[in-house]
Amino acid sequence: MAACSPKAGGTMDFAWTAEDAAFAKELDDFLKAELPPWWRGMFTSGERGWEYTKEFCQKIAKKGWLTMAWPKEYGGGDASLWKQVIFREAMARAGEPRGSQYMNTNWIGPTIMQFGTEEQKRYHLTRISKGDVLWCQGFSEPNFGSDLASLQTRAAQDGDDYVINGQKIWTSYAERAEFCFLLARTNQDAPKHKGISVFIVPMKTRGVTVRPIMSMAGGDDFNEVFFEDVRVPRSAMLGAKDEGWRVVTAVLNFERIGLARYEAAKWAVDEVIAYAKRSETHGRSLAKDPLLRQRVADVYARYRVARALNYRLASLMSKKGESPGPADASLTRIHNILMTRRAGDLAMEALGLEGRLSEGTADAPLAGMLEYEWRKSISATIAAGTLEIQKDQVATRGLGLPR
Amino acid sequence: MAQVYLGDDSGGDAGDPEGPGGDTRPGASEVAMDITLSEQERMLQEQARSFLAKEAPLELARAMEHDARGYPPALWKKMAELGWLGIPLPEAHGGAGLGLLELTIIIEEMGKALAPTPLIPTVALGAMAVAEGGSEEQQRRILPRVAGGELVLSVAYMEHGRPDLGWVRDVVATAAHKTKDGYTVTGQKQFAQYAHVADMLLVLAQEAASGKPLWLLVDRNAPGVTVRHLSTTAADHQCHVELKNVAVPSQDALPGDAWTLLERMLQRGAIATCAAMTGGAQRMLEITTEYAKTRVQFGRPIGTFQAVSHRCADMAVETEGARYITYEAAWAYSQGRDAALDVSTAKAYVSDAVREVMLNGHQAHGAIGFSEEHPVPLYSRRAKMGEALFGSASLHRERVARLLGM
Repeated sequence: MAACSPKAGGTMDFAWTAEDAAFAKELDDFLKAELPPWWRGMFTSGERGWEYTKEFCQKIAKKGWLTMAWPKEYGGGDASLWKQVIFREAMARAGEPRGSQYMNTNWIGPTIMQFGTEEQKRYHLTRISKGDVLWCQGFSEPNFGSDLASLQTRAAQDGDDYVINGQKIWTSYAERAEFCFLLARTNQDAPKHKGISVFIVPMKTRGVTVRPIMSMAGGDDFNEVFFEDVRVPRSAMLGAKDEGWRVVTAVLNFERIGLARYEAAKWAVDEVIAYAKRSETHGRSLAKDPLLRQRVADVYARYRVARALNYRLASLMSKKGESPGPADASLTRIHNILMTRRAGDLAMEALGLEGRLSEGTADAPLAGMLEYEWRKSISATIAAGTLEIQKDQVATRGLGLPR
Repeated sequence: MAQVYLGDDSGGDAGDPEGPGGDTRPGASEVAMDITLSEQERMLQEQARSFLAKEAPLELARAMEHDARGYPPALWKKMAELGWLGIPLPEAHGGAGLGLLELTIIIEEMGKALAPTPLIPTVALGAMAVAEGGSEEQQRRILPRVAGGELVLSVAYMEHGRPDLGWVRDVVATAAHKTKDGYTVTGQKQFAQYAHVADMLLVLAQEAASGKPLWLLVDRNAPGVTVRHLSTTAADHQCHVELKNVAVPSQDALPGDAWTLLERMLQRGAIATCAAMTGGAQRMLEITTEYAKTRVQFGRPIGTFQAVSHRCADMAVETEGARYITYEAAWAYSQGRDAALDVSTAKAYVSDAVREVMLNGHQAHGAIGFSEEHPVPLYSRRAKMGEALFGSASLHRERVARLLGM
């Protein structure tokens, strides 16, 4: 066995390159100058906000940032995954000015890149990279949420077409979307994971209706979608017939780590610290409260852990000959979502009763933004697979425990 | 161009083959961030893993808990031959010239095997303090012998009766009275690991006249030094050290700034403890997962019950987090950055996370995990010690709050 030799072969590296650091700064400067004074984040700026996100996406598409890590042939910039990570983090800190288009870059585009025909790739990826298309995701159904593979929406073959009947629910952005990334059953007789196909359904197709559901976070981004004899051609299918579950697995892996939630939580931590420093309680600075200091530090530490694990995934994805393990996305997501929850609770804890003043109310600290963060944080451990589903993934696929 | 379906009343815009306008940025040409282990680090890790699997089975850890010396000299010698004891020491003095990060990788593996050796006090605490704050002569005298496995060091930094949540700040009661050619030192120290078998103690004292702190190299066999072995949760050979008018020559005082050396030493101790705890947590996860796969109750492996499998998932989640936040702190220290925030972040997280891992492991094992014949208690007792060593989670959270400007 060789003895330990002097320096050779380098070390792991937690630092940005000079170029990446410069990009991060360029991005922050751009956002400072670009975001309008009234901008407070996605869904909290009303209709004006939605309009703005479209404008914003087209602007950054022109700068080549929207899909920078994609290949050039599909409207990308061949940039490193790290630039995408830096971009993602800046977006999270700025309240996601891409609006719902984060989905396009995070998982819709990459999935189409992996499973699409040349025509599908060329059309959809180009549209996405220009920042002028909105999508929604037709996965959950009223009776099948966590048990997604049992979904019942049917796509029956009729000549060269498929006729879709069924219902989806919790479909974010359905009212505004141009396309739906839809899961439907194409084989009634196969075991549940084996008979599902993916369809790209234009939302204006006859027979598609959308009914908004008011969510706890307000806004109009939550919907039911009904499909009644919706007829699409064979070319609307993404990937192979009956093999949609493979696509779903890829989607969920992209989706589970696509958002830099940890940076949004960090924003909340920073705001809590600033609030505590300017507030007094029982005759002393709130920032001196030992219990609050403990909680702030706890959430901060969890932020750092979540960030490190996200960087680990990115390292594995960008290294030749390496790839994340089957449950690494779930494991990382568990850190992201639990930290989101804790950050939301920390904000409410620190702001006390005032923290319960909602957006739009005079006197609401930070215009109610931290209260809104808390509302949103409730969904963190539910969307894209509940915390328990993620734990099942870690236990069975990661640790090999029996089902 | 083949048809892309756009809906039954679409205008039929079939896409645009051109990419977006504006500047496309050149790809990075230098080395990008990469927090996976480098080739060299991985080789070191694999070397440690296979060496310890062979040389440090769990029976050894168990036996050494009750052994008078507390470590096998033969194992120590072999570690020296592998170059481990010199990893972070300068090449000029027989070391490998690497950093704390490489040592951390070894310590993590040692935490997995519970390898009973004085590596942390000797190398991570003592020798690195001499390398950072010792004179050229002191380094020449001490470091090559450490690297060669001929010198065991223990660090006596904590005052007796002043545990201070595991992190000494500004109180030093051990007094060093100036004499013609050095000092006479009197005081009582607590939690000096492996002091009972150390050749030399690194003692934090205070110059009686000026009130200035200073580090002294004290021969353990010098007249006036009494070491009393302590029984602890982890049976990790902590000691009480009494110094009664111990004569220390001038050339045995470290010239470096004592507070700086202390702060940096505590940071290294916290990182090393995090690494050892992470290794222990990893092994606890493995043992528990294996048990959940094979232990059958109610006619099926208990790992099929979510109440058990989700505990295992929680253990994996916390262990992975502990590992990478520890690497990040070790990396920051090794880079020569101000690592105070990274270190406190890591220790705050790891102390709590590993406690949860251990409790989950116990819970999944039921009664057998309460039996000292089983590996589980060896790991959980060690982790319980680690929680308090070099600063508890709450102490480090307070430090984090201060460093964040609160």
